[in-house]
Amino acid sequence: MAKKTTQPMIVTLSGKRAVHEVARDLKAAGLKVEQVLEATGIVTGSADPKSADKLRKVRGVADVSADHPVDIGPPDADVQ
Amino acid sequence: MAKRRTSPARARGAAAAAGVSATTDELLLAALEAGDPAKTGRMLVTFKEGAGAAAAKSLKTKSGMRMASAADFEDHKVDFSAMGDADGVVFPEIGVALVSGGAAAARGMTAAVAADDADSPIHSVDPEYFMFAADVDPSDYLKGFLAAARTISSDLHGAGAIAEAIGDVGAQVAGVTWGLAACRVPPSTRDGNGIKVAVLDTGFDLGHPEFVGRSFTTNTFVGQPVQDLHGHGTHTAGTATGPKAPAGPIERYGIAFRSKIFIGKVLTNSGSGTQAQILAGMNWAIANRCQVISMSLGAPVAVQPSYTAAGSAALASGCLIIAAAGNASNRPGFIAPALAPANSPTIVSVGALDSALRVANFSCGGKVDIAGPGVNIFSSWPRPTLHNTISGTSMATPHVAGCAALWAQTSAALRGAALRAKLIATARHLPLPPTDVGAGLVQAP
Repeated sequence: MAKKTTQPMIVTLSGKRAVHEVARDLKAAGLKVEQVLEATGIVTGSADPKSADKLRKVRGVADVSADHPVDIGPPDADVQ
Repeated sequence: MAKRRTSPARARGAAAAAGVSATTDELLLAALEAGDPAKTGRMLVTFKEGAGAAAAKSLKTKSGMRMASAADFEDHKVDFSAMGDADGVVFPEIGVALVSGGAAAARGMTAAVAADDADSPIHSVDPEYFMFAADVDPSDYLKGFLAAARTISSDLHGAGAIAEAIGDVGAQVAGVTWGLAACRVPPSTRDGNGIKVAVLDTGFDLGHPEFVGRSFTTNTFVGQPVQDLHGHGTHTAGTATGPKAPAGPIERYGIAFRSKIFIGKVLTNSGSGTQAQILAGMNWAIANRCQVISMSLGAPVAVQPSYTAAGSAALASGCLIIAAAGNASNRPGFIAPALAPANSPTIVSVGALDSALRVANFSCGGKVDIAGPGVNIFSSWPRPTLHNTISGTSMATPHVAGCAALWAQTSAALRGAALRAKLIATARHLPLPPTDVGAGLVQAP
Protein backbone atom coordinates (compact mmCIF):
# COMPACT_ATOMS: atom_id res chain seq x y z
CA MET A 1 0.00 0.00 0.00
CA ALA A 2 1.43 3.32 -1.05
CA LYS A 3 1.99 5.54 1.96
CA LYS A 4 0.49 8.98 1.57
CA THR A 5 2.13 11.59 3.76
CA THR A 6 -0.54 13.73 5.30
CA GLN A 7 -0.22 15.78 8.43
CA PRO A 8 -2.88 17.12 10.81
CA MET A 9 -3.29 20.86 10.23
CA ILE A 10 -4.90 23.74 12.11
CA VAL A 11 -6.16 26.53 9.86
CA THR A 12 -6.99 29.84 11.56
CA LEU A 13 -9.30 32.10 9.56
CA SER A 14 -9.09 35.89 9.33
CA GLY A 15 -12.82 36.37 9.97
CA LYS A 16 -13.22 38.36 6.75
CA ARG A 17 -15.14 35.59 4.94
CA ALA A 18 -17.87 33.13 5.91
CA VAL A 19 -16.31 30.12 7.63
CA HIS A 20 -18.04 27.59 5.38
CA GLU A 21 -16.92 29.34 2.20
CA VAL A 22 -13.30 29.25 3.36
CA ALA A 23 -13.69 25.60 4.41
CA ARG A 24 -14.97 24.76 0.91
CA ASP A 25 -12.00 26.51 -0.72
CA LEU A 26 -9.59 24.78 1.67
CA LYS A 27 -11.04 21.45 0.61
CA ALA A 28 -10.50 22.37 -3.01
CA ALA A 29 -6.90 23.33 -2.15
CA GLY A 30 -6.19 19.86 -0.76
CA LEU A 31 -7.28 19.91 2.91
CA LYS A 32 -9.20 16.87 4.11
CA VAL A 33 -11.54 18.86 6.36
CA GLU A 34 -12.35 17.25 9.70
CA GLN A 35 -13.86 20.04 11.81
CA VAL A 36 -15.33 23.43 10.94
CA LEU A 37 -15.31 25.38 14.21
CA GLU A 38 -17.58 28.36 13.60
CA ALA A 39 -17.50 29.99 17.04
CA THR A 40 -13.71 30.28 16.94
CA GLY A 41 -13.16 30.61 13.18
CA ILE A 42 -10.91 27.58 12.89
CA VAL A 43 -10.87 24.66 10.43
CA THR A 44 -8.98 21.47 11.26
CA GLY A 45 -8.07 18.60 9.00
CA SER A 46 -5.13 16.95 7.34
CA ALA A 47 -3.13 17.62 4.22
CA ASP A 48 0.15 16.92 2.49
CA PRO A 49 2.68 19.22 4.25
CA LYS A 50 3.74 20.39 0.78
CA SER A 51 0.29 21.90 0.22
CA ALA A 52 0.51 24.17 3.30
CA ASP A 53 1.54 27.15 1.17
CA LYS A 54 -1.40 26.55 -1.14
CA LEU A 55 -3.73 26.50 1.88
CA ARG A 56 -2.20 29.75 3.15
CA LYS A 57 -3.10 31.46 -0.13
CA VAL A 58 -6.81 30.65 0.25
CA ARG A 59 -8.70 33.92 0.76
CA GLY A 60 -9.80 34.31 4.37
CA VAL A 61 -6.95 32.22 5.85
CA ALA A 62 -4.80 33.90 8.52
CA ASP A 63 -2.55 31.00 9.49
CA VAL A 64 -1.83 27.37 8.72
CA SER A 65 0.07 25.42 11.41
CA ALA A 66 0.79 21.77 12.07
CA ASP A 67 -1.25 20.23 14.89
CA HIS A 68 0.71 19.25 18.01
CA PRO A 69 0.10 16.71 20.75
CA VAL A 70 -0.77 17.74 24.31
CA ASP A 71 0.04 15.49 27.27
CA ILE A 72 -0.56 16.17 30.97
CA GLY A 73 1.10 12.93 32.08
CA PRO A 74 -0.20 9.97 34.06
CA PRO A 75 -2.52 10.29 37.11
CA ASP A 76 0.21 9.31 39.57
CA ALA A 77 2.67 11.99 38.44
CA ASP A 78 4.02 14.20 41.22
CA VAL A 79 3.10 17.40 39.45
CA GLN A 80 0.14 17.76 37.08
CA MET B 1 25.03 42.14 28.17
CA ALA B 2 28.19 42.83 30.15
CA LYS B 3 30.00 44.19 27.12
CA ARG B 4 28.65 47.13 25.23
CA ARG B 5 30.80 48.75 22.60
CA THR B 6 28.34 51.53 21.88
CA SER B 7 29.49 54.93 23.09
CA PRO B 8 26.84 57.33 24.45
CA ALA B 9 27.51 59.70 21.57
CA ARG B 10 26.84 56.98 19.03
CA ALA B 11 23.65 55.99 20.84
CA ARG B 12 22.37 59.54 20.55
CA GLY B 13 23.12 59.37 16.83
CA ALA B 14 21.03 56.22 16.59
CA ALA B 15 18.17 57.94 18.40
CA ALA B 16 18.04 60.53 15.69
CA ALA B 17 18.29 58.12 12.79
CA ALA B 18 17.30 54.57 13.90
CA GLY B 19 19.27 53.49 10.83
CA VAL B 20 19.02 50.15 9.07
CA SER B 21 22.60 49.28 10.03
CA ALA B 22 22.08 50.04 13.75
CA THR B 23 22.65 47.17 16.19
CA THR B 24 19.83 45.97 18.46
CA ASP B 25 21.63 47.44 21.48
CA GLU B 26 21.85 50.83 19.81
CA LEU B 27 18.17 50.71 18.90
CA LEU B 28 17.15 49.67 22.44
CA LEU B 29 19.15 52.50 24.01
CA ALA B 30 17.69 54.97 21.53
CA ALA B 31 14.16 53.70 22.13
CA LEU B 32 14.55 54.03 25.91
CA GLU B 33 15.80 57.59 25.40
CA ALA B 34 12.84 58.36 23.13
CA GLY B 35 10.47 57.05 25.83
CA ASP B 36 8.86 54.34 23.69
CA PRO B 37 10.79 51.15 24.51
CA ALA B 38 8.55 48.83 22.47
CA LYS B 39 9.34 50.42 19.10
CA THR B 40 12.66 50.55 17.27
CA GLY B 41 11.94 53.90 15.60
CA ARG B 42 12.12 52.32 12.14
CA MET B 43 9.14 51.64 9.88
CA LEU B 44 8.03 48.50 8.05
CA VAL B 45 6.37 49.01 4.67
CA THR B 46 4.17 46.12 3.56
CA PHE B 47 3.55 45.86 -0.18
CA LYS B 48 0.28 44.85 -1.78
CA GLU B 49 0.24 41.27 -3.01
CA GLY B 50 2.03 40.98 -6.35
CA ALA B 51 3.04 44.64 -6.26
CA GLY B 52 6.51 44.09 -4.77
CA ALA B 53 8.50 45.27 -7.79
CA ALA B 54 6.31 48.35 -8.28
CA ALA B 55 6.47 49.19 -4.56
CA ALA B 56 10.25 48.88 -4.41
CA LYS B 57 10.52 51.10 -7.47
CA SER B 58 8.14 53.63 -5.96
CA LEU B 59 10.25 53.87 -2.78
CA LYS B 60 13.34 54.51 -4.89
CA THR B 61 11.96 56.92 -7.50
CA LYS B 62 8.92 58.62 -5.93
CA SER B 63 10.33 58.85 -2.41
CA GLY B 64 13.94 59.18 -3.53
CA MET B 65 15.29 56.67 -1.03
CA ARG B 66 18.53 54.76 -1.36
CA MET B 67 17.21 51.21 -0.98
CA ALA B 68 19.27 48.03 -0.58
CA SER B 69 17.68 44.68 -1.46
CA ALA B 70 17.93 41.32 0.27
CA ALA B 71 18.37 39.88 -3.23
CA ASP B 72 21.76 41.66 -3.38
CA PHE B 73 23.06 39.31 -0.68
CA GLU B 74 24.15 35.73 -1.33
CA ASP B 75 21.24 33.37 -0.50
CA HIS B 76 19.32 36.38 0.87
CA LYS B 77 21.54 36.31 4.00
CA VAL B 78 21.13 39.98 4.78
CA ASP B 79 24.00 41.56 6.75
CA PHE B 80 22.54 44.69 8.34
CA SER B 81 25.95 46.00 9.39
CA ALA B 82 26.91 46.13 5.68
CA MET B 83 24.03 48.48 4.83
CA GLY B 84 26.05 51.61 5.56
CA ASP B 85 23.90 54.71 5.16
CA ALA B 86 21.14 53.16 3.03
CA ASP B 87 17.67 54.57 3.76
CA GLY B 88 16.11 51.15 3.73
CA VAL B 89 16.20 47.55 2.63
CA VAL B 90 13.64 45.63 0.54
CA PHE B 91 12.81 41.98 1.27
CA PRO B 92 11.32 40.90 -2.07
CA GLU B 93 10.36 37.36 -0.97
CA ILE B 94 7.98 38.55 1.74
CA GLY B 95 6.95 41.87 0.15
CA VAL B 96 8.21 44.07 2.97
CA ALA B 97 10.71 46.92 3.25
CA LEU B 98 12.44 48.26 6.35
CA VAL B 99 12.93 52.04 6.30
CA SER B 100 15.22 53.95 8.68
CA GLY B 101 13.64 56.30 11.22
CA GLY B 102 15.43 59.28 9.67
CA ALA B 103 14.31 58.55 6.10
CA ALA B 104 10.74 57.89 7.25
CA ALA B 105 10.60 61.13 9.26
CA ALA B 106 12.12 63.20 6.43
CA ARG B 107 9.32 62.04 4.10
CA GLY B 108 6.52 62.39 6.64
CA MET B 109 5.95 58.62 6.57
CA THR B 110 3.64 57.62 9.45
CA ALA B 111 1.83 54.42 10.36
CA ALA B 112 -1.13 54.03 8.02
CA VAL B 113 -3.04 51.60 5.90
CA ALA B 114 -3.04 52.96 2.36
CA ALA B 115 -6.45 51.51 1.56
CA ASP B 116 -7.84 54.75 0.17
CA ASP B 117 -5.25 54.93 -2.59
CA ALA B 118 -6.08 52.11 -5.02
CA ASP B 119 -3.13 53.03 -7.28
CA SER B 120 -0.55 52.78 -4.52
CA PRO B 121 1.45 49.52 -4.51
CA ILE B 122 1.84 49.88 -0.72
CA HIS B 123 -0.55 48.09 1.64
CA SER B 124 0.49 49.57 4.96
CA VAL B 125 3.20 51.34 6.92
CA ASP B 126 3.73 50.15 10.51
CA PRO B 127 6.25 50.81 13.26
CA GLU B 128 8.84 48.07 13.78
CA TYR B 129 8.64 46.48 17.24
CA PHE B 130 11.34 44.78 19.25
CA MET B 131 10.94 40.99 19.43
CA PHE B 132 11.91 39.05 22.52
CA ALA B 133 12.89 35.43 22.78
CA ALA B 134 10.48 32.56 23.50
CA ASP B 135 7.01 33.98 23.90
CA VAL B 136 7.94 36.79 26.26
CA ASP B 137 5.62 39.75 25.91
CA PRO B 138 7.44 43.06 25.21
CA SER B 139 5.89 44.49 28.37
CA ASP B 140 7.82 41.84 30.31
CA TYR B 141 10.88 43.86 29.43
CA LEU B 142 9.45 46.63 31.62
CA LYS B 143 8.22 44.15 34.22
CA GLY B 144 11.88 43.15 34.57
CA PHE B 145 12.77 46.68 35.60
CA LEU B 146 9.92 46.70 38.15
CA ALA B 147 11.04 43.34 39.53
CA ALA B 148 14.60 44.61 39.87
CA ALA B 149 13.40 47.73 41.67
CA ARG B 150 11.34 45.59 44.03
CA THR B 151 14.30 43.32 44.77
CA ILE B 152 16.53 46.29 45.55
CA SER B 153 13.79 47.73 47.76
CA SER B 154 13.35 44.49 49.69
CA ASP B 155 17.13 44.20 50.11
CA LEU B 156 17.15 47.67 51.63
CA HIS B 157 14.33 46.84 54.02
CA GLY B 158 15.76 43.45 54.91
CA ALA B 159 14.40 40.02 54.14
CA GLY B 160 11.98 40.29 57.08
CA ALA B 161 9.70 42.55 55.04
CA ILE B 162 8.76 39.78 52.63
CA ALA B 163 8.18 37.20 55.33
CA GLU B 164 5.95 39.70 57.14
CA ALA B 165 4.01 40.50 53.97
CA ILE B 166 3.15 36.90 53.15
CA GLY B 167 3.02 35.31 56.58
CA ASP B 168 -0.69 35.68 57.26
CA VAL B 169 -2.00 32.87 55.05
CA GLY B 170 -0.78 30.39 57.64
CA ALA B 171 -3.88 31.25 59.65
CA GLN B 172 -5.97 28.32 58.41
CA VAL B 173 -9.71 28.50 58.11
CA ALA B 174 -11.29 25.41 59.66
CA GLY B 175 -13.09 23.12 57.25
CA VAL B 176 -11.70 24.49 53.99
CA THR B 177 -8.57 23.79 51.94
CA TRP B 178 -5.62 26.18 52.28
CA GLY B 179 -6.18 27.18 48.67
CA LEU B 180 -9.76 28.35 49.18
CA ALA B 181 -8.75 30.22 52.34
CA ALA B 182 -5.88 31.96 50.51
CA CYS B 183 -8.29 33.07 47.76
CA ARG B 184 -10.74 34.34 50.41
CA VAL B 185 -13.50 32.09 49.11
CA PRO B 186 -15.13 31.18 52.48
CA PRO B 187 -16.27 34.74 53.36
CA SER B 188 -17.67 35.33 49.84
CA THR B 189 -21.46 35.40 49.57
CA ARG B 190 -21.31 34.31 45.93
CA ASP B 191 -21.87 30.75 44.71
CA GLY B 192 -21.64 30.95 40.89
CA ASN B 193 -25.41 30.61 40.47
CA GLY B 194 -26.37 31.26 36.82
CA ILE B 195 -22.78 31.11 35.60
CA LYS B 196 -21.65 28.41 33.16
CA VAL B 197 -18.15 27.11 33.86
CA ALA B 198 -16.51 24.86 31.27
CA VAL B 199 -13.65 22.57 32.29
CA LEU B 200 -11.74 21.15 29.30
CA ASP B 201 -9.79 18.19 30.62
CA THR B 202 -9.90 14.37 30.97
CA GLY B 203 -13.67 14.32 31.67
CA PHE B 204 -15.38 13.89 35.04
CA ASP B 205 -16.63 11.14 37.35
CA LEU B 206 -20.30 11.85 36.67
CA GLY B 207 -21.31 9.51 39.51
CA HIS B 208 -19.24 11.25 42.20
CA PRO B 209 -21.44 11.39 45.32
CA GLU B 210 -20.49 14.99 46.11
CA PHE B 211 -21.92 16.18 42.77
CA VAL B 212 -25.36 14.55 42.96
CA GLY B 213 -28.06 16.89 41.68
CA ARG B 214 -25.65 19.28 39.92
CA SER B 215 -26.31 20.56 36.40
CA PHE B 216 -23.93 18.86 33.94
CA THR B 217 -23.60 19.45 30.20
CA THR B 218 -21.00 17.17 28.71
CA ASN B 219 -19.32 16.31 25.44
CA THR B 220 -16.35 14.21 24.39
CA PHE B 221 -13.88 15.24 21.71
CA VAL B 222 -11.53 12.25 22.01
CA GLY B 223 -13.74 9.28 21.11
CA GLN B 224 -13.97 8.03 24.71
CA PRO B 225 -16.91 8.41 27.11
CA VAL B 226 -16.83 11.58 29.26
CA GLN B 227 -16.47 9.42 32.39
CA ASP B 228 -13.00 10.28 33.78
CA LEU B 229 -10.71 7.27 34.16
CA HIS B 230 -7.63 9.48 34.68
CA GLY B 231 -8.54 11.70 37.64
CA HIS B 232 -7.09 15.04 36.48
CA GLY B 233 -10.40 16.35 35.11
CA THR B 234 -12.37 15.33 38.20
CA HIS B 235 -9.79 17.13 40.37
CA THR B 236 -9.70 20.40 38.39
CA ALA B 237 -13.49 20.61 37.95
CA GLY B 238 -13.83 19.85 41.67
CA THR B 239 -11.80 22.93 42.61
CA ALA B 240 -13.66 25.25 40.23
CA THR B 241 -17.22 24.00 40.87
CA GLY B 242 -17.26 21.55 43.83
CA PRO B 243 -19.71 21.53 46.76
CA LYS B 244 -19.93 24.03 49.60
CA ALA B 245 -20.22 21.42 52.32
CA PRO B 246 -19.09 17.88 51.49
CA ALA B 247 -20.50 15.24 53.86
CA GLY B 248 -18.57 14.17 56.95
CA PRO B 249 -15.14 15.46 57.88
CA ILE B 250 -14.22 16.37 54.29
CA GLU B 251 -13.06 19.99 54.03
CA ARG B 252 -14.53 22.33 51.44
CA TYR B 253 -12.49 22.28 48.23
CA GLY B 254 -14.92 23.67 45.60
CA ILE B 255 -15.50 27.34 44.73
CA ALA B 256 -18.49 28.04 42.41
CA PHE B 257 -20.75 25.43 44.05
CA ARG B 258 -23.97 26.47 42.28
CA SER B 259 -22.51 27.07 38.82
CA LYS B 260 -23.62 25.10 35.77
CA ILE B 261 -20.84 22.63 34.98
CA PHE B 262 -19.76 22.05 31.37
CA ILE B 263 -17.38 19.11 30.99
CA GLY B 264 -15.54 18.90 27.67
CA LYS B 265 -13.39 15.81 27.45
CA VAL B 266 -10.45 16.98 25.29
CA LEU B 267 -7.81 14.69 26.82
CA THR B 268 -8.00 10.90 26.83
CA ASN B 269 -7.92 8.72 29.94
CA SER B 270 -4.14 8.58 29.52
CA GLY B 271 -3.99 12.38 29.65
CA SER B 272 -3.20 13.12 26.02
CA GLY B 273 -4.91 14.99 23.21
CA THR B 274 -4.27 17.04 20.10
CA GLN B 275 -4.56 20.75 19.49
CA ALA B 276 -7.50 20.09 17.13
CA GLN B 277 -9.42 18.29 19.89
CA ILE B 278 -8.71 21.08 22.35
CA LEU B 279 -9.80 23.74 19.85
CA ALA B 280 -13.00 21.75 19.28
CA GLY B 281 -13.65 21.86 23.03
CA MET B 282 -13.01 25.60 23.20
CA ASN B 283 -15.34 26.14 20.25
CA TRP B 284 -18.05 24.08 22.00
CA ALA B 285 -17.75 26.02 25.27
CA ILE B 286 -17.85 29.38 23.50
CA ALA B 287 -20.84 28.32 21.35
CA ASN B 288 -22.57 27.33 24.60
CA ARG B 289 -21.90 30.80 26.03
CA CYS B 290 -19.87 29.60 28.98
CA GLN B 291 -18.68 32.70 30.83
CA VAL B 292 -15.55 30.93 32.10
CA ILE B 293 -13.40 28.21 30.48
CA SER B 294 -10.78 26.45 32.60
CA MET B 295 -7.94 24.70 30.76
CA SER B 296 -5.38 22.87 32.88
CA LEU B 297 -3.34 21.75 29.88
CA GLY B 298 -0.71 22.87 27.45
CA ALA B 299 2.27 22.10 25.27
CA PRO B 300 5.74 23.65 25.16
CA VAL B 301 5.32 25.35 21.80
CA ALA B 302 5.35 28.98 20.62
CA VAL B 303 2.25 31.17 20.64
CA GLN B 304 -0.33 29.45 18.43
CA PRO B 305 -2.39 31.74 16.16
CA SER B 306 -5.33 29.34 16.51
CA TYR B 307 -5.38 29.60 20.32
CA THR B 308 -5.02 33.38 20.11
CA ALA B 309 -7.94 33.53 17.67
CA ALA B 310 -10.02 31.25 19.90
CA GLY B 311 -9.21 33.53 22.87
CA SER B 312 -10.33 36.58 20.87
CA ALA B 313 -13.54 34.84 19.82
CA ALA B 314 -14.15 33.98 23.47
CA LEU B 315 -13.68 37.59 24.66
CA ALA B 316 -16.00 38.80 21.89
CA SER B 317 -18.62 36.30 23.12
CA GLY B 318 -18.39 37.39 26.76
CA CYS B 319 -16.27 34.42 27.75
CA LEU B 320 -12.88 34.28 29.50
CA ILE B 321 -10.38 31.47 28.91
CA ILE B 322 -8.06 30.66 31.82
CA ALA B 323 -5.11 28.29 31.23
CA ALA B 324 -2.21 26.77 33.17
CA ALA B 325 1.18 28.44 32.70
CA GLY B 326 2.80 24.98 32.90
CA ASN B 327 5.05 22.94 35.18
CA ALA B 328 8.30 22.85 33.20
CA SER B 329 10.45 24.97 35.52
CA ASN B 330 13.01 23.67 37.99
CA ARG B 331 13.55 26.66 40.25
CA PRO B 332 15.58 28.43 41.27
CA GLY B 333 17.98 27.38 38.53
CA PHE B 334 15.66 27.05 35.56
CA ILE B 335 12.51 28.96 34.61
CA ALA B 336 10.71 27.55 31.56
CA PRO B 337 8.47 29.79 29.41
CA ALA B 338 4.68 29.49 29.66
CA LEU B 339 3.01 26.83 27.52
CA ALA B 340 0.50 27.22 24.70
CA PRO B 341 -2.37 28.11 25.05
CA ALA B 342 -1.47 30.14 28.21
CA ASN B 343 1.17 32.06 26.22
CA SER B 344 -1.48 33.59 23.94
CA PRO B 345 -2.25 37.24 24.77
CA THR B 346 -6.01 36.65 24.67
CA ILE B 347 -5.85 33.88 27.30
CA VAL B 348 -5.24 34.28 31.06
CA SER B 349 -2.05 32.46 32.13
CA VAL B 350 -1.97 31.09 35.70
CA GLY B 351 1.14 30.41 37.81
CA ALA B 352 1.22 28.23 40.95
CA LEU B 353 1.92 29.19 44.59
CA ASP B 354 2.53 27.10 47.69
CA SER B 355 0.83 27.68 51.06
CA ALA B 356 3.55 30.14 52.12
CA LEU B 357 2.72 32.08 48.93
CA ARG B 358 6.07 31.31 47.33
CA VAL B 359 6.23 30.47 43.61
CA ALA B 360 6.04 26.70 43.14
CA ASN B 361 9.43 25.40 41.96
CA PHE B 362 7.82 23.87 38.85
CA SER B 363 5.75 26.92 37.83
CA CYS B 364 6.53 28.35 34.38
CA GLY B 365 7.45 32.02 34.01
CA GLY B 366 7.36 34.84 31.50
CA LYS B 367 3.81 35.34 30.30
CA VAL B 368 1.99 34.86 33.62
CA ASP B 369 -1.09 37.03 34.31
CA ILE B 370 -2.18 35.86 37.76
CA ALA B 371 -1.41 33.13 40.30
CA GLY B 372 -3.40 30.58 42.30
CA PRO B 373 -2.81 27.88 44.92
CA GLY B 374 -1.05 24.95 43.21
CA VAL B 375 0.90 22.90 45.76
CA ASN B 376 -0.72 20.10 47.82
CA ILE B 377 -4.21 20.82 46.57
CA PHE B 378 -7.03 18.64 47.93
CA SER B 379 -10.01 18.06 45.59
CA SER B 380 -12.33 15.42 44.16
CA TRP B 381 -11.07 12.24 42.43
CA PRO B 382 -12.93 9.45 40.60
CA ARG B 383 -14.57 6.71 42.71
CA PRO B 384 -13.69 4.74 44.71
CA THR B 385 -10.90 7.07 45.92
CA LEU B 386 -13.19 10.16 45.98
CA HIS B 387 -10.38 12.62 46.90
CA ASN B 388 -6.73 13.27 46.11
CA THR B 389 -4.06 15.82 47.00
CA ILE B 390 -1.83 16.80 44.07
CA SER B 391 0.24 19.74 42.78
CA GLY B 392 0.63 21.70 39.55
CA THR B 393 -0.36 24.85 37.67
CA SER B 394 -3.25 22.57 36.64
CA MET B 395 -4.52 22.95 40.22
CA ALA B 396 -3.92 26.73 40.32
CA THR B 397 -5.95 27.29 37.14
CA PRO B 398 -9.38 26.16 38.48
CA HIS B 399 -8.89 28.35 41.57
CA VAL B 400 -8.77 31.33 39.18
CA ALA B 401 -11.65 29.93 37.08
CA GLY B 402 -13.82 29.39 40.18
CA CYS B 403 -13.15 32.91 41.49
CA ALA B 404 -13.86 34.26 37.97
CA ALA B 405 -17.29 32.57 38.10
CA LEU B 406 -18.03 34.26 41.45
CA TRP B 407 -17.00 37.65 40.02
CA ALA B 408 -19.10 37.04 36.88
CA GLN B 409 -22.09 36.49 39.15
CA THR B 410 -21.67 39.90 40.82
CA SER B 411 -22.43 41.82 37.60
CA ALA B 412 -23.62 41.00 34.10
CA ALA B 413 -21.09 43.59 32.91
CA LEU B 414 -18.18 41.45 34.12
CA ARG B 415 -17.72 39.33 31.02
CA GLY B 416 -14.74 38.65 28.77
CA ALA B 417 -12.10 41.40 28.96
CA ALA B 418 -13.95 43.19 31.79
CA LEU B 419 -13.88 39.99 33.85
CA ARG B 420 -10.17 39.59 33.18
CA ALA B 421 -9.55 43.20 34.23
CA LYS B 422 -11.51 42.62 37.46
CA LEU B 423 -9.48 39.52 38.34
CA ILE B 424 -6.23 41.40 37.73
CA ALA B 425 -7.33 44.51 39.63
CA THR B 426 -8.52 42.60 42.69
CA ALA B 427 -5.63 40.11 42.89
CA ARG B 428 -3.61 40.21 46.09
CA HIS B 429 -0.27 41.82 45.33
CA LEU B 430 2.74 39.66 46.21
CA PRO B 431 6.37 40.74 46.63
CA LEU B 432 7.36 38.46 43.73
CA PRO B 433 8.31 39.07 40.10
CA PRO B 434 5.27 39.73 37.85
CA THR B 435 6.83 37.33 35.35
CA ASP B 436 6.23 34.57 37.96
CA VAL B 437 2.87 35.55 39.51
CA GLY B 438 1.44 38.27 37.23
CA ALA B 439 -0.85 40.59 39.21
CA GLY B 440 -0.66 38.30 42.27
CA LEU B 441 -2.93 35.83 44.07
CA VAL B 442 -6.51 35.60 42.76
CA GLN B 443 -9.18 36.74 45.24
CA ALA B 444 -12.90 35.94 45.46
CA PRO B 445 -15.41 38.85 45.56
